Amino acid sequence: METEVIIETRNLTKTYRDFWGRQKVRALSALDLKIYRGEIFGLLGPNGSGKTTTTKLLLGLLFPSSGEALVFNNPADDVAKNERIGYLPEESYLYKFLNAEETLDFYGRLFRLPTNIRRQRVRDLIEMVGLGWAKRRQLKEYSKGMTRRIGLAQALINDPELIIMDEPTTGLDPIGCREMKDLILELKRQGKTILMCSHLLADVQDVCDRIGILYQGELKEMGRVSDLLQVRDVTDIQTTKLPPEAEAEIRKVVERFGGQVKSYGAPSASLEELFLKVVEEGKTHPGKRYQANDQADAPNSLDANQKKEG
Amino acid sequence: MVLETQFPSVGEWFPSAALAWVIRIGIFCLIALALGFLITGVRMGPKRSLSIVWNAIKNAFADLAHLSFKRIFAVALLSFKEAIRRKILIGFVVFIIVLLFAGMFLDTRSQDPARLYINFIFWVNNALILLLALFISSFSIPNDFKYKTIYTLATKPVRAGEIILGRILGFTLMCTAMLLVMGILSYGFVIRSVAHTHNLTSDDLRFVATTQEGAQALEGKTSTVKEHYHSVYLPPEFLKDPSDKTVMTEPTNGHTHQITLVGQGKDRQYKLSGVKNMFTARVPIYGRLRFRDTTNFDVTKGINVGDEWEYRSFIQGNSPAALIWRFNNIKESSFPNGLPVEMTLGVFRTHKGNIERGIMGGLAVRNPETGLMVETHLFESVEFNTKRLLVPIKIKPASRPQVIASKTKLPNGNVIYDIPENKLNQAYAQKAEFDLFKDLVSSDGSVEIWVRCLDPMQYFGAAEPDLYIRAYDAPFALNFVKGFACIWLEMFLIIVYGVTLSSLLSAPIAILGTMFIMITGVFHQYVLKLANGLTEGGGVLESMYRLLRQDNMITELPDNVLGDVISMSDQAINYVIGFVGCLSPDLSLFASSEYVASGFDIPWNLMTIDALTTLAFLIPLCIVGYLCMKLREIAA
Amino acid sequence: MNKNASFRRKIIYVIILAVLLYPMFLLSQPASPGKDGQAGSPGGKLAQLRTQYGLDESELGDVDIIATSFRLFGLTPIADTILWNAANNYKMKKDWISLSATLKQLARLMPHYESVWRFQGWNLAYNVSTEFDDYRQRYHWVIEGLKFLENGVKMNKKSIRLTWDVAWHTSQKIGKSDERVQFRRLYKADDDLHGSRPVELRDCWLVGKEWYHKAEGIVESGVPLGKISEVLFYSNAPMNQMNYSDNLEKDGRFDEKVEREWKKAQDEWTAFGNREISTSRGLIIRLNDQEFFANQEEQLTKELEEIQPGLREELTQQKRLKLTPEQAAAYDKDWVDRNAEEINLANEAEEILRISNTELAERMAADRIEHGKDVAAKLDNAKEQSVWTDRYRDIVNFKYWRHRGAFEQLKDVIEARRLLYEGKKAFQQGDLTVSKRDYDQAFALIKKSKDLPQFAGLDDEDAFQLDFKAVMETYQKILEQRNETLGDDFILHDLWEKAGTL
Repeated sequence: METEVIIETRNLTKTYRDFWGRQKVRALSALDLKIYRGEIFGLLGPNGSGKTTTTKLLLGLLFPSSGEALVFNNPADDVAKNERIGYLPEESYLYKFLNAEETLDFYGRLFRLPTNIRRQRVRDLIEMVGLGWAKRRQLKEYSKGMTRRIGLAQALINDPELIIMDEPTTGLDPIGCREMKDLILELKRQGKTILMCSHLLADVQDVCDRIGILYQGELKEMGRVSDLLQVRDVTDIQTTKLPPEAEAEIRKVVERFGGQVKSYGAPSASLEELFLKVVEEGKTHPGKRYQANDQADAPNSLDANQKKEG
Repeated sequence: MVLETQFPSVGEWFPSAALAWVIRIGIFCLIALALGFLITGVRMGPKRSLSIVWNAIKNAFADLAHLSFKRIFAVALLSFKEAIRRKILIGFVVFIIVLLFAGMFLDTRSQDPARLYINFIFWVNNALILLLALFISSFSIPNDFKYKTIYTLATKPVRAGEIILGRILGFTLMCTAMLLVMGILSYGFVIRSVAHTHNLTSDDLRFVATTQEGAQALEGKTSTVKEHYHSVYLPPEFLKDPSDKTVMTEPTNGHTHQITLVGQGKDRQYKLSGVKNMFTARVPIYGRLRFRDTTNFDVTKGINVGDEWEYRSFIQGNSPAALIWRFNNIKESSFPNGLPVEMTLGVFRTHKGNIERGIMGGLAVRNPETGLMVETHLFESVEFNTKRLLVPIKIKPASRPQVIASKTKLPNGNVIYDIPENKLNQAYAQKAEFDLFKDLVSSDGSVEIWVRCLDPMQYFGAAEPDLYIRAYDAPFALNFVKGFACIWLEMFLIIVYGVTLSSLLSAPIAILGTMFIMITGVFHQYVLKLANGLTEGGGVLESMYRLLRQDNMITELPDNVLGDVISMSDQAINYVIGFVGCLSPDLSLFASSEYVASGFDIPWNLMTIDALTTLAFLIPLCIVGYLCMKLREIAA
Repeated sequence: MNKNASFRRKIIYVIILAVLLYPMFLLSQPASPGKDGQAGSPGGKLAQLRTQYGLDESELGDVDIIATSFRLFGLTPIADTILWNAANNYKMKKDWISLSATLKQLARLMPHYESVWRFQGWNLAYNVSTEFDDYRQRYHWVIEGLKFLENGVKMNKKSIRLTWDVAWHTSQKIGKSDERVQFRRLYKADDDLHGSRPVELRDCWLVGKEWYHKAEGIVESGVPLGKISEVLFYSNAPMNQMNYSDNLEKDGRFDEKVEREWKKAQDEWTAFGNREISTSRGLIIRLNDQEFFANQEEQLTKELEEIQPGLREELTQQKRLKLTPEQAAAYDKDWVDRNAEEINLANEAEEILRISNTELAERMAADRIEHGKDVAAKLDNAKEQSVWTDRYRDIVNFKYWRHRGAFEQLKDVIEARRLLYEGKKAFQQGDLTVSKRDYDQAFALIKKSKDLPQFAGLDDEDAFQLDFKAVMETYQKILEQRNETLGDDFILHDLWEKAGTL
């Protein structure tokens, strides 16, 4: 399919030199990368592998030592491209003396948004990230989660086509993490392209379409998640709850086809889902406490219905 | 008022200044490029840096085209908020405290309190606002880099130039607001501190006889307030009809009070107004001064009577020697009542003479076209005080009028006359009364004022600004505002320098750098003198050599290799100094407090020069700032 | 439990602090001046010590916050350099207002640095004042200098020099300057300066004398004079009294007050003469005692010779034998005939031939030696006293003023002065007859008085002759106008001759 290439790097290299011009660290070596419109691309790698360097090169915050970085088919240091992108850094690099409204207003002005649109967007975004109750407080009083949210809001102020996120879920609590992932999926649904760096593999797995893995500045693996993660020699079947007698039958069917049942039983829900359920109930029924009892089935066990909703 | 260097009019100043400006832009661009190569070259290697710098220059023009005022304003708003919320208002508090303790600094017994107070106020405001501007502007961009808020900013479509300009605009607005408030408070402070009045009771007055038959005047003195009192003379007309609003006390300490009478007979009370005539803003018309020596020839300088300060030159008394001021463009419409002349002459006595009175002098008016000279006043000199004389429209000569020419001797021995001998018509002098504009002002509006000393063996001295025609008085408040405007221009320059330097350097270095620029600016004339090798005692190395050997300034350098090395190195160093001198503006032009304090209007001329100078620095500095921002690796 | 304990501790600390505050208050309370007739408090112990040693401003009003903070931050030298340069710059540019303000700031910065006060006070009174043409302006600046110095005195109450400076400048700059007539007039009328001082006492000499007494008071209180010459120091106050009396006559007063003031002058001068003055040699002398010691010297010399007459000649002969022929020849020659070498030889001879009194005594016979040595010692002492007292008298022209004090008291002399004054006035008005008559009468009275036995030697005093010469100037003008000359029968001819040699 002929999808538009949003981001392209050709032989992109970045070497940090010390003051005397000697090479110190080769942060990125000959990176060749293409990112297409509408996909969520995850850049993985351990700490120090070059993920952040790549994003900085793409944003024009660094000059490449050799090679090229192109965004929307223009060099990365072209300021005009900034009209169409949003950047959510890992730390909040926002002015601490402004409050949420003023921050969004300031960045909105930089995009030369007409006043009414700008004001509307500011209101909507604050609502969306759930900071309506703290919008007049200066940013220096925000917690980490709050700063991440306002950071997200400023990244979206111009309704960008491309969003670059650096460690979007790192350091968030499970609820925040869930919300972030949902948002990322929503953005994809709106047709935006997203590049995210992370070392939290589970989160990347949940949202990304394609991934690339960096190690010591070199691209070691790249491809679609589903392709890469597919376990080829196992077939996964999920059914509604069956009576115990069905087990023997099913095993026989599988063996008839030359396979073998590797595991049979109720699957585990994810801890995340349990956590979210408990919190949700905490909101609706405040005052309810944990009580130890002898029942083998914990009262908060999840069944498939709840799992789907979670 | 003492004006040691007369600044030129805008028309005269502009061509050379414009040329200097073009050169300066060139220098600044070179500096910017050099810096650019330095910054990128170190990090990226020489080849890459070339392409990066070339790219930056290419992009610069595109960026210029895309400069958006909305974005500049957004950054300005940000800077404004930043400045406020960083609690720089503490500077404001310091200002108030200083004002409250001002009494410690100020000599309340001074004979000219207005001048002292105004000088003090301007000094305080200048120092405070410059410090404030310096600190606000130097920390902003380095903080952006330190706290990495520049990352977020750099990923928005805001141009580097807009960041620089926006910051400058924001800080300027902030500091202007502060300066405005400080200015209003200062004005109030000066007026209030000086305000006072005196009491005058019947016991302080006694009757004195006057020249009129049977009419008696009242004479006496007021109560002592602020360590001075005024003598009072109430003429008989005023005592009969107290509706005259112009009766004042005698001037003391630079001001007077208006006197009003209330009541009759035993209940008569005397009320004095507040301070009057203390705050003025004279608009002087200056002339060109030349001297005439005892042999009737015109010379450019008079006699030096041994003063260390060569500001004034002197002429002998009881001789043809004279001080001659020539004024141009004197129109009758501007002076319907005559020419108000004010002069502050220096006096030198070779013998005490009669110490009970001053030296006698004569003031005459001459028509440079016809040569007619009419003496209008005989006066007694008062050294260090301004004497006011009015040359009336209808003049009765104080001595016999003459018709004379001015002659100058050329170096080759020839003599040139300003009016040829055959054109001198003695008939002009044969009148009993003369009309100022018809007889004494030439057809093109020129007139000369001659001042002679009449006592033998005594001397009068003057510098060009010592005698002027007081055209009119501008409102003092406006002058005060103009003075503050000059402070504003300096402040603006500091902000521009601070922002520019901080775009590349860390905050403390930027502060030091800006302070260095300011110091070079204040001593600009000296730096230029040094760069051109005109200072006494030679250049840097030469002086150091002499200092170490404890020689005086006149000893020659040794005639060997060392001496040659020193001279040549000094020449090179002088180039560098001249180069550095170009980087800063001539701040002595901005020092306007003396005008306001002495009661002279700050000429619009000077203000135009100041404004143009500021503008001239704004543009190159912004270019440098832009390039520095562009060429920095933001995330490095 | 912990919270309680920590809270209790805090309360205990606060109580201890409050208790400590009281002794601190006692120690460091500043002194305050009296108000409305109440006596001021001398302040806490520290303040009292400060006043005792003259160390610092203890009164609340004197503490200068700005200057103190400058000192705290060590900025005094910088501020001082800047201010001093600025002061010099203003003086060069004749910006008197700024100069005055800057000097006051300087003094505030270093109030205990005596030289600053002295120099700038002198600068204002002597240099700045002369720059002005108008004598009223000059007077103003002289007074500025005096006021400046008085401030310095206030800050340095134990400074002899500053107090002395005020006295000196008040007396000299107003009393002896060219504009003294005008200055004294302005001084008398200066209500601001004198405050409640009665008009009669508003004379620069009297005020100066007051200040001299203040300076002497400081010395009484135990502050050493240091390098200041004692004889000059104590002569100032009585000299001021002399000048005051003199000035009274110059102003045209010739009544009993003048006689009284001259008597007072004489008394004070005598008291000065009786004062014990220490010399550079360590010897204590009294200026009045010179005649006594001179007499004693004469008597003792005779006495010494009479103990063993002829001994001196004997010894001289013996010593002559030790001379070389050249020395002897040179010594015997008349001193006018000696050439350079011979002068040297003669000096050497004199040295060898010298016999001191002690030596003479020691060479006496055994039974007279004791007596001789005793007399010799007394003689040497008397000689020393005489010589040194004479020297020190010269420093202050003691004899002349002693004479003068007595001389001017005489009614005849006062009358003579009056006649001279009237005579001069008459001459200025053109009345030659009256003026010559007055002068002649005056001269007669002067002759009568100076020929009195107690004023022998007054003629020879240079100062007296100078005074006379000044009077003669006018007299000669009178004679000239009348086409007369000074004849040999002029009544004060001998005095005129002496004065002519000056």
